[in-house]
Amino acid sequence: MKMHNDRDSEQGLTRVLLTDCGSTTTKAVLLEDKGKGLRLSARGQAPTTVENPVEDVTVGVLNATREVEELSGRKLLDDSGKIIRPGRQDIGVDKYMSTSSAGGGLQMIVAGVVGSMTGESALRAALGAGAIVMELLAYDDKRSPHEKVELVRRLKPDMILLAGGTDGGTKSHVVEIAELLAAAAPRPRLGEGYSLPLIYAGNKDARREVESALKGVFEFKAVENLRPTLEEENLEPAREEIHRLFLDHVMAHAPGYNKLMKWTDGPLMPTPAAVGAMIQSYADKKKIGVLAVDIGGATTDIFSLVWTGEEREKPVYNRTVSANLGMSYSIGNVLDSVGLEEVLKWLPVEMDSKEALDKLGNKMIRPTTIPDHVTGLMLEQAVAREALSSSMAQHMEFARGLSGLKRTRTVAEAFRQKEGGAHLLNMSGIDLIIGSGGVLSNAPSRVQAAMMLIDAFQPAGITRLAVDSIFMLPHLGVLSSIDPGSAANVLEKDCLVNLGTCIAPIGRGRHGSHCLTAEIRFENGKVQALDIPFGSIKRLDLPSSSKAGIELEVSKGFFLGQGRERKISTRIRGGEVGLILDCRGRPLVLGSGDSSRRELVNGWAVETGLYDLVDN
Amino acid sequence: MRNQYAPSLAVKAITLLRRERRLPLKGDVLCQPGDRVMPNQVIARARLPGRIIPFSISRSLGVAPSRLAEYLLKKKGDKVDAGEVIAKRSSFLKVFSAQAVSPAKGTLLSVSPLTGQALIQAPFKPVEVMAFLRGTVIEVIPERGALIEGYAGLVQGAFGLGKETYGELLPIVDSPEQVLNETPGIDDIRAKVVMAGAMVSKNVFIDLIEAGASAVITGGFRFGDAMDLGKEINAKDRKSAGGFQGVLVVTEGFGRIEMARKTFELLCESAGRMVSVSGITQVRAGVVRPEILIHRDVTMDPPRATDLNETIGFLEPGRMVRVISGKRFGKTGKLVSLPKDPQRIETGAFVRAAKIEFDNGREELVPRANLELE
Repeated sequence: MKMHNDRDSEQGLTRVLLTDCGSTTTKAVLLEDKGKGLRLSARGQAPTTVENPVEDVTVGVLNATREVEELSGRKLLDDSGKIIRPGRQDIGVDKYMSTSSAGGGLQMIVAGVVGSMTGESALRAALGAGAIVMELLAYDDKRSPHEKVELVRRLKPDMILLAGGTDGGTKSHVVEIAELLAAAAPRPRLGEGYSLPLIYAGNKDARREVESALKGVFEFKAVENLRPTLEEENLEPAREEIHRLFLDHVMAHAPGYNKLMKWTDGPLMPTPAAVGAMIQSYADKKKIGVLAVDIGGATTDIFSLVWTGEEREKPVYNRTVSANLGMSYSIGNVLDSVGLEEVLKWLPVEMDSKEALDKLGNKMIRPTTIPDHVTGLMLEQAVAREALSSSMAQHMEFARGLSGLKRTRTVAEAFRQKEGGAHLLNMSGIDLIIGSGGVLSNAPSRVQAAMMLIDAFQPAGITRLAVDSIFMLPHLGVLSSIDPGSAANVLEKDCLVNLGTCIAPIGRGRHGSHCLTAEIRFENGKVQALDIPFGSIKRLDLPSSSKAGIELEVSKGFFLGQGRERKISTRIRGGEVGLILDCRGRPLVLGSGDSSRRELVNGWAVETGLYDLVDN
Repeated sequence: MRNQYAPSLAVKAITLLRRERRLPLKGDVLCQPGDRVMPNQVIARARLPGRIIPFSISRSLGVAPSRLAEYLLKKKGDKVDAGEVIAKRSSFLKVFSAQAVSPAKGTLLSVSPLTGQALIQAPFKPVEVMAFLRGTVIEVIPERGALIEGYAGLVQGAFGLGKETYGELLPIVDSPEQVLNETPGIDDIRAKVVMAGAMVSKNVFIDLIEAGASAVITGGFRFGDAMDLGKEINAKDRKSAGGFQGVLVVTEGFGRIEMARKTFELLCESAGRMVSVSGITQVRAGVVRPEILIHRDVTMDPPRATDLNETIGFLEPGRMVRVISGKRFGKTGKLVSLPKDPQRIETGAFVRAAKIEFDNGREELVPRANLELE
């Protein structure tokens, strides 16, 4: 009899097919148990076929599956083109599941009465459900009523979430917002001839009046108030309704999705919701703080799970999507929001600003092109740093410690949301940073991926770095809903590429003054001692398969973790990049003046081996 | 191994085109299947609801929303003028009298007894859709528009600004590498679609449009200028009913980039013809590129069968290709070979590449992702 161990699928699954229908590409993976638990067997991809001329998402799914068939040598489709289930002997699969962000994912407008209270709670509910929030409307925002109506009219959302008022509180404000939404009567993004779904999750006493104001314009659904009292937030009923409507209403109008939903052994998940589920499941299993990022052409998603409480017993999960920050379609927005100067400051070489703008513009209009020379690559990676750090700033601003389930906080805390929440996401509480998206996963050198993550997120203390090399997080997220153990196993063994460990003392000092002493004991018995001055960075090789013991001590004015430790002795893991000792300071500040700044950035690039030609 | 498909922007002297022309909302379709239509002919028309202006009558009168009905002088659906009194509260003492006046001309849509908020809808605005393509109506989309089919020359651009326009094509440069940093003196530019070379500055573009040109076509344009111009156009669209009327089509990309010879020659040969130009660009999912349709009367000037030969868009040895990014941006060359294995390029990346022979006889490896068919 086969003995059960950690690697065995909890469901007894031996073969699983998973697809992620992205905006441009549909990716299929086949996981098989060949005696060591479910592991990646083959991966295939094909263009997504939601748009003209095919307009049927399942065509792309079958094309990607055929590639998996060819690569794995397994027969997965029958003669009529259906996925064979249940699997028997060498053919077919036990389960087929899928995620989707095709056609732009789930796009929502959220509205509340007070922007920083019910508006923010509604935003959190929508983002947690995997939506891209196109706009947050609030009774108290600075726009005039007619501007709000015009704004809603221009947008074509998939769904609206309306919150506002505590139960038993004032009704008129939320009814007024409902009247504005009804006057705007936005049209749905996909399909015609049906009413746009609107979820009402506000003051329960105003439900009848709100419904009356919206009747005939929207498909009205009411759920429990997501902010029943000032100090209580109850997001789950709204999130569940968003998921249900996403499947029943939105996806039902997307080309081919009715067919796809009949094929899957479980609900179709929005891609970001699946990635979030995987991150939560993995962080929970390992009891570690995780920050994950997916930087795409149009949007950048950030997921974080940190632990609070003295014993790190309470997980706090947050997800944000920066809908206008990305590496191609949204490159203009990155430039608009940070300015070209902020991008150019990362370049170790001089570049004419007009020429730089033109290069970035060309990336926007031809997103699939790749840099063919080093300065072009440097520029693209400089934009990535700014897009990532701007997205992180938005995440920090938003991540205020609510996990979404019923949670109680005091009235005083409720009015101090920014201050209270900001303390919850501290970079020294992050043990692992996972990078995903073309600019990180496909960087010509893993050092470049690691340095983009370090420069943008500024990890503090001791942090492991990894990249999702084949963007399998969505697939594993949907798998984790039925088999979290297998999903975590595949994540570690087949999905994540360990880059290594970054050690970054917190604090700032005088350039060149002593910052860190490190003594590293390698597995082969070799011991290396290093003294690193403030303002510099050092990279050491430490292979993926090895660990090392390390003793760290920082100078006065610096510390190494949440407990303000100045001396730490621990074991660290290697990776393709190795060990990075980053003594450039937290926060990281680049020098002023073009030439001194360039000299500094060039020095760091040379030290870490960032680009082949930098030392020329 | 099957050769890799390479997308490219179309440049065709004549081709059979279909264009679906739709209203943004339901309206009246003014054509029938089989009708011959001209590019500037209106084929569908709708009334765009005017903007909604909410305002609080309750606050103006100082009475509870539930009691407003007693004071209203207008009822739902009534037309109102800007400044017209729509509710009034009278009192023996003048100081206690109050009135609510309409903030705009339009129709009173509703008055809420719960919030006291009134909604005025400004008058409808007409929206018209032109045929854009000279051809035949092959299908009517009820209440929306029509599908038009016809022969035309086609040039797809890489980027555009503005909406749609129509006019006579007028080349104003002698070569595809010519840069226009100063506005040329041209006698009659009104309603003309002006064609330039490798680059036009933002100021020259604005001068040409202000002088009456309906559109400007150029090989390259500065991205910084395009970002500024985009913001100015959006601001004008918001402020004035007609919005910004100029159209820009950039055929190659951002920077000083020689217009592709094939494009330049086709446009020069078409000087004096009527063209439809769309600057509408969408770079996200569901890509929409700007385009220039060159019209001709096919009954008088029928296309030859050889003109209509469609080539399949695959990268294969012997094909002429164009580099669309990187060091050789804008250069054309002959594809020599397609190495099977990923090749290391200057950045250190291993990518699928193609060996290209350029005009100077040198052969270079170029990432396949950076190529399109010439």
